[in-house]
Amino acid sequence: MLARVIELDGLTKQYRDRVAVDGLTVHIRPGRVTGFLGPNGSGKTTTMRCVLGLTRPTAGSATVLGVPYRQLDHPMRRVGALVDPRARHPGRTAYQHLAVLAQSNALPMRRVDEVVELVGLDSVAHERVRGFSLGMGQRLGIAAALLGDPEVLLLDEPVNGLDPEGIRWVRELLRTLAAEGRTVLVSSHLMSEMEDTADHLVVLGRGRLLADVSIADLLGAHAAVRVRSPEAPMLSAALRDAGAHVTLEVDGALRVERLDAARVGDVAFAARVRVHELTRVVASLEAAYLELTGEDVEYRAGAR
Amino acid sequence: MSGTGGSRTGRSRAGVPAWAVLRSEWTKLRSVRSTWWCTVVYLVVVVAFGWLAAASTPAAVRADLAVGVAMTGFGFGQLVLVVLGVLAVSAEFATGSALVSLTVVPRRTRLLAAKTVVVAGWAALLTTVLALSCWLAARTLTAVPGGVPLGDPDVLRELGLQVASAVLVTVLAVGLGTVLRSTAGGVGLGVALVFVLPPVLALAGGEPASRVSQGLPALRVGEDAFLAVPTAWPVGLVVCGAWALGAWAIGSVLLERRDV
Repeated sequence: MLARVIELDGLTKQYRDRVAVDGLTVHIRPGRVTGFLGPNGSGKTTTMRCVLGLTRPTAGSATVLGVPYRQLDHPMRRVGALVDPRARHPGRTAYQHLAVLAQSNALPMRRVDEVVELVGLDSVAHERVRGFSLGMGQRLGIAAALLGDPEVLLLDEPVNGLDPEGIRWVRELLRTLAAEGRTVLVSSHLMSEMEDTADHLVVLGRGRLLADVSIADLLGAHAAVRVRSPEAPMLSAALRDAGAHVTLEVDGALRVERLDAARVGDVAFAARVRVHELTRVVASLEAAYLELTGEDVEYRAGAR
Repeated sequence: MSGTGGSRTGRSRAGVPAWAVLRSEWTKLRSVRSTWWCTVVYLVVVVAFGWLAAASTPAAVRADLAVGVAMTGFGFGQLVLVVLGVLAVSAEFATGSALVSLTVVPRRTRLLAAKTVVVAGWAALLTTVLALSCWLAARTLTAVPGGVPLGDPDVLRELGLQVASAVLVTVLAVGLGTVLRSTAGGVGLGVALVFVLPPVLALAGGEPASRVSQGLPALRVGEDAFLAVPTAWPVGLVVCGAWALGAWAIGSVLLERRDV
């Protein structure tokens, strides 16, 4: 299996007055869900549109399955995409919308019935999409992406506007698709949407790559140990000597980074300091994400 | 991957067969209401004008003149084809569905060609039916020495020119819609080119104005032009054809190059 299913090489998109994507080099691998994260305006949508050949990069390249997207022979059989849940003619029914897409790629019409049922739109399939909510639009967009039973899926903010049940459904769907060996790239501006969904994260800020990291590594990098001792100053000094980064928490406990819990216990024992509490603190993804993107938020309340 | 799509034509190298895109575009065209509104207006305007004009022309000296009178309605009716052609493209950009269309058919010129064939084909079909209705009106209501036989070469030319004009106007409109990506802009410019400017320039008078007028793609390819400077039909056909192909070619180049 091709290890680099989606390959971005120095991808850059410059608009008249701003750089939307700035020298992005990333490879997206199969068999796992890759979360494409970044604040609003960080270049996720532009990147996805470059991959799909909708937007022409100013410099660099984007390939899917080894070729530029526009050279794919059977686009829908290879790559399924959700670009924008509102990208549809309001006067067509959901069924007609999907039929148009299936016919354009010579897909059998039974696929339309299959995906309509899969996304749970059976009861409204023959209604005009004009009255669809954002959540129904997302389901229709996901149905369109799945029509060709593709090996690669690119979904731009698929859970935006979905209710909690819908979010859980998308999460399970994506995990199933990845487990079947497919490549799944799913963007979001909320880390909370990626928890329990993505295995790997690509984080953007102002068009630049901030992180290309597995969830486990990201959590590990931001993990800490919480330790309480009646002789906190002595322990703190000993831990610093051992190379830890130590901060004092409001309740008087010490927050220790760069050492694991066992090492912290050993250091305390060697320094003959009594320990009343020793806890491994699992970082929240949200905190790790905020730390990563904190400097790179394009639109911030009260920002100059 | 098992290529059920390629098996029908046997050309797997070419990927998705061309008929697939044509079929998809036909579904697009018939699944929106605007198509049926345009169709009804076109039919009603041309038939009503045609039968009224024929009824008020009791006699004509030649068969092709009688048919020409009965086809007066095309002078207005074909404006509907400007709307139909522009909308076929501009509605995709207005609704955002172009994003999806160009994702599933990334070979953009092929997509535009399929759309053009389908829309122009529909216009040709409707116009053929209408032209025959106009011939029937002339034959029924206008007295001509020797009658109004359908096999008369001059009558056939009159009818054929209407169908050609309809196809060219539709192609021009598809081209304008692709260049401007806007319904208002495309319909506005299209109506100006085929309907407003030719008579305005004719009324302005003077040699340069009438030359420019003849160089515009007036409806009905200059034959029996409504208030415009008349042109011989072969010249009119070439002028309209050049405009249609020119607009379409510019449209397809821009579609290939521009971001969606």
